[in-house]
Amino acid sequence: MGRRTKVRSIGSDLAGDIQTMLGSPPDLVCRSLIPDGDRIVQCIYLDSLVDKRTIDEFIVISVQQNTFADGPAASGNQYIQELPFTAPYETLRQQVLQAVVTGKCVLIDAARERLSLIDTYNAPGRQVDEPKTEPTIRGAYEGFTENIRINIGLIRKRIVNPSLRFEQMTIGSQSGSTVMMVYMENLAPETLVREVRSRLAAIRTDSVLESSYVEEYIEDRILTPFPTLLDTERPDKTAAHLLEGKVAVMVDGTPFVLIAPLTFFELFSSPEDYYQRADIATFIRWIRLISFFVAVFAPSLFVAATTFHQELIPTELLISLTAQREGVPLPAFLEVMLMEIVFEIIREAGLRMPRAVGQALSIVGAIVLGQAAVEAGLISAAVVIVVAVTGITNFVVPVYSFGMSQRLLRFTFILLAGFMGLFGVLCGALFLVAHLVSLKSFGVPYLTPITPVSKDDWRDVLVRAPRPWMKPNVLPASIRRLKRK
Amino acid sequence: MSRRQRAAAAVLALCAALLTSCWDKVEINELSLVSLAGLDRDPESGIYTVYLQVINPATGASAQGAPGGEQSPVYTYTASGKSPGEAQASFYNVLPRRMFLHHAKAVLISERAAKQGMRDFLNFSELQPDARTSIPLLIVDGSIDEVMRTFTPLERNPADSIVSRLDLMYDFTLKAGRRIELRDVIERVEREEMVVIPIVAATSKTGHLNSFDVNAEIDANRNQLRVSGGAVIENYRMVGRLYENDLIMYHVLIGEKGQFVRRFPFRGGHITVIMKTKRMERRLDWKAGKPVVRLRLRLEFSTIAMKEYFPQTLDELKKLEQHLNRVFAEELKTFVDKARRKGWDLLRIRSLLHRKAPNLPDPDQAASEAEIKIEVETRLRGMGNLGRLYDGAGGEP
Repeated sequence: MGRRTKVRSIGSDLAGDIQTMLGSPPDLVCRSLIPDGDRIVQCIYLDSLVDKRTIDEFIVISVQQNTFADGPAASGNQYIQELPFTAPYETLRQQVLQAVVTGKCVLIDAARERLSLIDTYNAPGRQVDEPKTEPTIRGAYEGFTENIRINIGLIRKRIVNPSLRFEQMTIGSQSGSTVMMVYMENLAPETLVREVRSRLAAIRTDSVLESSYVEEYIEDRILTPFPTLLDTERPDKTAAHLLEGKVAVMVDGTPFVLIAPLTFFELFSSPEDYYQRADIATFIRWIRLISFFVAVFAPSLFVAATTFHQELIPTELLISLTAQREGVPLPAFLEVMLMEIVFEIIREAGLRMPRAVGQALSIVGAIVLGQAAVEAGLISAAVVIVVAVTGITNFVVPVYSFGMSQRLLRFTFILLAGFMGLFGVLCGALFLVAHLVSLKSFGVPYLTPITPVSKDDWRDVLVRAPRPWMKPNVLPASIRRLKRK
Repeated sequence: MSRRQRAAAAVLALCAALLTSCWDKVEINELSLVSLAGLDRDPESGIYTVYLQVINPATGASAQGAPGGEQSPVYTYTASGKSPGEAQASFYNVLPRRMFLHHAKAVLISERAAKQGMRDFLNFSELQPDARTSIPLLIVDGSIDEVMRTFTPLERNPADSIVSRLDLMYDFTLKAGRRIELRDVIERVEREEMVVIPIVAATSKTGHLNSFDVNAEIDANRNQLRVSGGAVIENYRMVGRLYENDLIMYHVLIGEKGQFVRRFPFRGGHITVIMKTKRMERRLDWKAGKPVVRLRLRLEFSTIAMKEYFPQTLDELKKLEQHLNRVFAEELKTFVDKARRKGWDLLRIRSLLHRKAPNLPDPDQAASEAEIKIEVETRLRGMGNLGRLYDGAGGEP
């Protein structure tokens, strides 16, 4: 008798309790379905998170026609889950609550003492679109989306191999975000997989809203301007790295996927390198390397040469620079610093502004700050050129986060040049090299394969050798190193 | 290291950077870019006068407003003193920007100063940490004051104009040599060699002219500078001069490689030949206890300027080459004998003997007694557009 009371109370109270506990949100739907004369099946879901077509066309119809699976759901079925009706009410309520907020449809059949959770998750989101930060001319135009399921599909589509592994975990005590570790079981070194898994498991945080949250927890060193994990929104790039034995980490809700380990020279390669002729790819790779040096060192070398080492500048150029600086009130160091800061402000403002206004802003930035400042004699034309060239070269690098590190480094070098001239720049460069040598990404030295030397891999570092010249089925030096361990 | 110590170290490092090192910075428009330096010494009073020609950046192509025109491309500053150092120090009486010698293109020394001796000046110049010694040294014929106040057309900066002419003269006329930079002169004089350096002079003037006038005048031979002839320097002192024809011979004999034009007697008339030095070998032999220096010269020539004669057959060509070999060797020998009569060891025989026979008791005597044999070998390498010359009557008699 007592048991019946309890059953009845689950059937009638649970829907109300859930509604109360969620604060009666407008998207909560509680439907009473009547398959038989006196039997009522409660159907609860958040209609903002579910696929309504599935609920209307399959669940509701099958319940009303009394064709909904009678027996218990097969164990391991992730889509339909049965909860034991006999469990304590508090536990059941908590589980049902969790199910509702994760986009499941809850069916409470009090008469038959069944409580089913059906996965109908389909949150609104973007469809597969072109990657915003890594566009290419040749190659796939598909980019990851915010939906992890779609992202998994995009990878599976490229690697049709049963060895592809996805390990799901939930991180974030409040957000409960889905984080997925992806790797090729036959290629990825066991030590690497174990390390990534343990670092992910060690994350203690309340929320993970973007992959950068995870990145900060699992990267080898926090105080460095260089990324030690590659972030990409390109499925083809991710697939290429997975096929090299690396591990990817996907976070639900962001199109940016993390890839580990990362070495310095991989920051200069783009998927496009492999989609076009080797000679062109090599040329472009050199352009990227030169751009990196220009982006980091050009303003500092300009400051050092014009304020400390005028004898280094060719006479004609020096005369031209002196002519431009006649009447300019600021020292070259402040001039460059000021323009760089203004440029960063324009860039940041351009990012945040609505697209239509952003264009107007860039015109104002270019004309007002460039031309007018030069004409007014506030800034010399050479500085505008240096800052502009630096700004442009900064965008050449294919990895967005690496572009950001270059911006930081540039300011450091300008400061050093302003105080100590070329001596300062040299000291800074030595520190930078020492720092790069000391960096590691998941146990792999950052400057692999230049140091430690791995000559076989040089065919894909400063040059991109034609594919027939590269050894087939050879993993990169970084992964071979981990495998040896 | 405790946290407090670390913070203190960071603050100290920051102070070191912020408080000290930036003080030696100089903005480029705080510098006076010296393009040409000049030196004179009055033999009677012993007063040094230093001239600095400073570039006016406002006339640079990228200057604000309209470049050129109204402003002088260079300004000449003058200062005097009992020594070059004293003169230099008094420049700031008139010069508003820091003297910057790194970009100087040439150094001029007045003839009278060169005749007194340039050692002190060269020493002073070498002592300066910011002075360049890789720039040519020239002697001024006439008033250095006038030369330092003369504009040059086309190439508005006189120093650029002079240096550019020296390069062209080397490549196309061999009237200037390569090793005429300050450091070369010092090195060569220290090896007790004689050096010949170019001479610059102001051409005739049509009055007191400013830059605009000079650039507006069509006759570019007047109102400017002329580089012509060479000053013979021995032991830091100018001892004589060579005129243009002799300068070519001198440069050929010391092995400078360049092109030159020369007129040779041929079959009762003359032929004009464009020649290019290819190789020069010196060999020291001994004959009856006396040194014999053999000079073997290989030259190439072209008939491009040879309007007087054109060889039609291989035999004629052979004969022409043999003729040139003989005539040019004779001319070179005449030049060498003339120089030796003046006591000038332009062929550096003394230094050759010093190197090859260091134990000679009297190298000067041996050098003056040395026999010099010159062999010339010419070879045709270039021809003009004509297969044979037109032979109408309307030519030179």
